[in-house]
Amino acid sequence: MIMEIFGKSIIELIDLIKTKKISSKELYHYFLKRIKKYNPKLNAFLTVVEDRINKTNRTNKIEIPIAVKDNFCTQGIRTTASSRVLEDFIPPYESTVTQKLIDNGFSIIGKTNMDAWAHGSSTETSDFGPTKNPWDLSRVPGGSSGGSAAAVAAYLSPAAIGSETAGSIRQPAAWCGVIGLKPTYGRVSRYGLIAMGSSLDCPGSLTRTVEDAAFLLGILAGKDDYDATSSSKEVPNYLKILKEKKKYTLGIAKEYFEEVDEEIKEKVFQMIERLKKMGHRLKEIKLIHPKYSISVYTIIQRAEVSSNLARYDGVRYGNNRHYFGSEAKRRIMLGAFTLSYGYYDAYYKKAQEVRKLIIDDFNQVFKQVDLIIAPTTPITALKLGEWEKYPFFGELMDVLNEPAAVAGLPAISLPVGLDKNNLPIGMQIIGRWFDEGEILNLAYQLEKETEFFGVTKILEDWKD
Amino acid sequence: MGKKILSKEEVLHLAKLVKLTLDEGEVKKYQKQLGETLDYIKNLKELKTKKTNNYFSSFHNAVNVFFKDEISKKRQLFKEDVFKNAKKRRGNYFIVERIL
Amino acid sequence: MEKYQPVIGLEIHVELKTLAKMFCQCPADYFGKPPNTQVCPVCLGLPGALPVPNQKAVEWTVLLGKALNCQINKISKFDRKHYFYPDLPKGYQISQYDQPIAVNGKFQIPISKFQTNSNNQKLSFKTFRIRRIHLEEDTGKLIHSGGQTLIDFNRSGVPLVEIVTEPDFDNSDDVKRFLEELQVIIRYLDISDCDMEKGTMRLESNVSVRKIGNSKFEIRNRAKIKNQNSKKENDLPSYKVEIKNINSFRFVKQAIDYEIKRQIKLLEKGETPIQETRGFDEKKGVTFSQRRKEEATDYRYFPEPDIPPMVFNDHWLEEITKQVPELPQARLERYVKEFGLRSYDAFLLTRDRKIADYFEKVTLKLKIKSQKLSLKVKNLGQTVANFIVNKKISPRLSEDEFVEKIIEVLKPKEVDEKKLDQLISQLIKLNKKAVEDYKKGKKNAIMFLVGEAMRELKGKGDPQIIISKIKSQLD
Repeated sequence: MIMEIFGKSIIELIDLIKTKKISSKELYHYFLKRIKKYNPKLNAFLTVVEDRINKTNRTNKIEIPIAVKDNFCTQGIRTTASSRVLEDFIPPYESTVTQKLIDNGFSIIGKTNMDAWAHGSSTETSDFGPTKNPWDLSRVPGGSSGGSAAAVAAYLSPAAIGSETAGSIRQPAAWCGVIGLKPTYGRVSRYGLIAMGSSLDCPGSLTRTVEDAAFLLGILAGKDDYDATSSSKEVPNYLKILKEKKKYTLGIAKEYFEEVDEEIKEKVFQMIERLKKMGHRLKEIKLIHPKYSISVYTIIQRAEVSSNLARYDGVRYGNNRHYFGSEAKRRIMLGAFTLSYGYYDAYYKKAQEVRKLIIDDFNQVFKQVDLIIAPTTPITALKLGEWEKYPFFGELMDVLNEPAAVAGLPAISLPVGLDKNNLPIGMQIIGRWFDEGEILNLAYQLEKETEFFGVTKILEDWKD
Repeated sequence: MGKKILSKEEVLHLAKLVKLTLDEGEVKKYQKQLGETLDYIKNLKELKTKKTNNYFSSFHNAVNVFFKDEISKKRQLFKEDVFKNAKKRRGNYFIVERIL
Repeated sequence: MEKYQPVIGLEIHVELKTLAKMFCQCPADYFGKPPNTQVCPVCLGLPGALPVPNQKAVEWTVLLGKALNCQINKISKFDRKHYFYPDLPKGYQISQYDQPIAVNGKFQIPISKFQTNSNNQKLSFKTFRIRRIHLEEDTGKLIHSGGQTLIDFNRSGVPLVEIVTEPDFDNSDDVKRFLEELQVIIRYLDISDCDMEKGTMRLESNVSVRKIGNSKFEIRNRAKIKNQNSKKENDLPSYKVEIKNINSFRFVKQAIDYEIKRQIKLLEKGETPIQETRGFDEKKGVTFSQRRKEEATDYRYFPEPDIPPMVFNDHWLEEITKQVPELPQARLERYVKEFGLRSYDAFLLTRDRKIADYFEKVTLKLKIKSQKLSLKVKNLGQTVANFIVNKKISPRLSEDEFVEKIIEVLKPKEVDEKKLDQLISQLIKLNKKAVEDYKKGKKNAIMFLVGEAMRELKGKGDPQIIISKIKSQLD
């Protein structure tokens, strides 16, 4: 029986329960057992929910376990954002994202490791130890949603929820060989998501299939009265759009291939060739250089971080400010500096102005093309500790993710093969604002065409 | 352009603003690191920009998002939940060391 | 000799009386509630909680802006203001920085002393400029006890409006009148209790003193009069002292007067007063140093990313403008014109919107009723005003009851005129001695007859009328 379950998608598992091949309880225990067995090696989970019944969904017959990044507040389940400041924080309220999951037949099986406060691209800034990459335990899974990506890659959970500020879903998805969807800013409510960069933060999913990504987005998207920045735009039926036959004009920007590893370039170009053969049109486009997005991102994100972390004073919850790790401190300090009197105009205001420029730039480009294709990361997964060699590690690893994040655009990272070290390579599709449907459609076409070269399925090491 | 290094006083002033206590080593580290970051983000000056006071609406059409003036108890916390995560309390109050 | 001129600017905080808080739906009325019972993830600043603004609070701020003749910014936004204090749960206050809801207003207040007797007194006014009006959230409440400070977050997130004036005041009387008038207006708008003692109206006054009287200054001052708006700013003293935590209008005046004297004393010694925050000791009547302003606080404002901007279109602004009620000064002028009231009575009646409304309704009802009864009432408005102002009849009565009472008082005098004539001729017959005395020239004897008449009328008669009637019958 167990062999039947391994690697199955949410959609497939729902079917197994519906056809009574397995019960919800058995399914939950299957994953619980796997977590107990493999998590000590991976450190993907910080908290495991042993008691299957998560309050509200006792009546649901179908119950699919799902892993949630530890920066979503889960009522009654410890939520730390991987920081010792919140090491014993048990939220008295539920985030909108987890509430929607519970309401739609999911049980939260555990909370996944991440970079502390989502500051980082490797999970190494976690105060509870790094997560290991299931493809190579000497390497990091990427971050900050590294625990979520690793949990899905090693099949400790059929899918996981992550959050992205700039690359925090796409980059670990690429490094762990899974599918990472970062929706448009405002498409999914941030209420209850521990804020990092408030004007950038975006909940999203890590899954093994494109269909699962579409399924989850359908559940999570929509206006939330508790989040003023959530969009009231109608939520389309993504599962339906997925299966429509569509041809797109795809934009390719040279700037996004500079300083990208040769093997990655090669694999992405192979995919582009394939897309051409599938009947899509290609068009060379010119975008503002990503290096400016890094600067914009650095300034805005840190200003917001320094502000968002001000509430942690240890009075109402958590530990006091001495408990902040060095990365959080560094960001708080820089943020405070750029907002300081006399520097506000030169840095923060200027960054907002350039941000507008980047947005306008994408607007222009999206008049010519439907979607943009680019590598997700310039390199594949690094070894543990290697990040210290890069002073701007996070920003550089996310260089190709930041423009879309700064502009609030939706994007997906897909596995497109392995490099010579047998490490996954990711390619991303960026779309217009609220065009998640089109992104998912093209991703689904590629999935049908290539099955992602088996990358999402070939992790035999993690089979029982 | 030489690398900018923040003075010790600047770093300590910032630390005070954000209520962080730094040790000697950290102060030195931030003097250098903050300087490096500032050097990096200087590149924005290369781009000509227009004044904007409302970048928000350029990708997010929402304006005037309000709630109606009505009381809802839905999110109000029960007493035990209010203090569940507090390290210290006195009766039904949160407490800090006396500040005045 | 050198002279000194005080320079005073005000920052007034007013708590709005919305039902819900500013950024969440917890009840805003925290008076007398057990501590920390009206809190939610938003106003307690829990991780991940987000603010959504209260529409009514925004509308009311615009309304206040309109009432104080401000310009309303078409695009307004919220900003975060950062500082650490235990009553501020997020480490920042959601406030407004460079695009407040309202700017550049002016507020005219009556400053003449009224003489109760004078009939047609011309009012004189002074105008003070409003720099800005913005909307923000209140903090929690602190109680200092023993070695600890206790925190109650029930007040955290209650909508708070801040009104900032230009430093246009040069004496404490004007400040007091300004505050009283502002309170009246805000109560007219029905957007706040505006009670200093309860803390729903709070004042910070910035006081400094400058030297005038040397010729150079005078010349400059004269030149600047032409340019009213930029007048005073150019010439402000190099320091200012903020006085905080005063909870009555009377103490505001005392505190400012004390502070002006204190500063002049220092200046005369050649010292510059220190820039600081001072409190006011009500018992001793003195201000005292609270805390030095440390190296110019740096609030690190930036636009609140959790709240999209507010864009006010013309149609919407017109709708709000329509909601501005007729304000006391306009009413006062109308009462003088329309009802022929004495200015002072009109002033008294218009202090409270409820009383003014009551006055108008009673006047109208009395008019109708008296016409029905063919009862002539002279100076109808003034008559009603007299009854209300002198509290001859309780204004707690319903309007109809009040009208009834007035008629009761007014009616007998005229209707019983025949009876009165009969009564007097009877009295003349019965009291021959008094009549004779009177005719002999003992003018006082008439008072005996008046007294008899009054006794018969059980005190309800008008002695003046009775006297004249007796005289006309005897002469």
